[in-house]
Amino acid sequence: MFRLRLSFLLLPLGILCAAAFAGPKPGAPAPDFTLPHLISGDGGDVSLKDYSGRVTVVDFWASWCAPCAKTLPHLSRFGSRQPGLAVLALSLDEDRGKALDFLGRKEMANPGLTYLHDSKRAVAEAYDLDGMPSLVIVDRKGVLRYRHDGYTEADLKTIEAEIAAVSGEK
Amino acid sequence: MRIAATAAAAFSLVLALALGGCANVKPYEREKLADPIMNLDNGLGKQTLEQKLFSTREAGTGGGAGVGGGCGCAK
Repeated sequence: MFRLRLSFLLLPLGILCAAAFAGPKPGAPAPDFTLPHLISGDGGDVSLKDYSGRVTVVDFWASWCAPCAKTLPHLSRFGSRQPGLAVLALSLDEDRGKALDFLGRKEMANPGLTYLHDSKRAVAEAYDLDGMPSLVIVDRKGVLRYRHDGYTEADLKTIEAEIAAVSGEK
Repeated sequence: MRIAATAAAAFSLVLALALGGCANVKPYEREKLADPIMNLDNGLGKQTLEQKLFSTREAGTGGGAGVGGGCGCAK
């Protein structure tokens, strides 16, 4: 009887543990994805594996996320400065129009960024983001090397250093 | 004894369902929660407008968060 009661009490714990599943950690293969271009809409799909052999930064942003407006210009600067670096900026807006309005309003259709649209948030879910904005750095072999959730001014230096470290590897 | 076991099972089931309902909304799923309409302000800019009218009526600003002069025309 005690064993039966214990199993019933452990059931909620099991549900909670299942809910606490975390996404891929540094060192694991980066989950591949294929998404449409945000700005052109019909410019053909883009996959992460298209960028194999290049260090790739995948940034997750949305028009409703105020701090995201701060990271995009910096990422554009990183992308423009390093020709070998690919920066994919994934909009998580359900409505493509809102994302385009945001980019137009903030004049953020920056060079150096490839804007993609994850309208169903499938990629965000695959990476199990823990903040907005979030970014991951994928090395030339497709391995997830660094992930960062959330944003503060101080984070930029760390992110830049991580990009430089991964880019510096042969 | 059987009643106690049934009660324990029922309690565990209710607890499991209740805890399952406490799902954490992931940061990337908060688009609707981030909408200004969800603000407790009870209407877009209503609080700002009320503060503006208050400062206009009181012929003074600075005591609150109201902005602008006394004409009541600034947003």
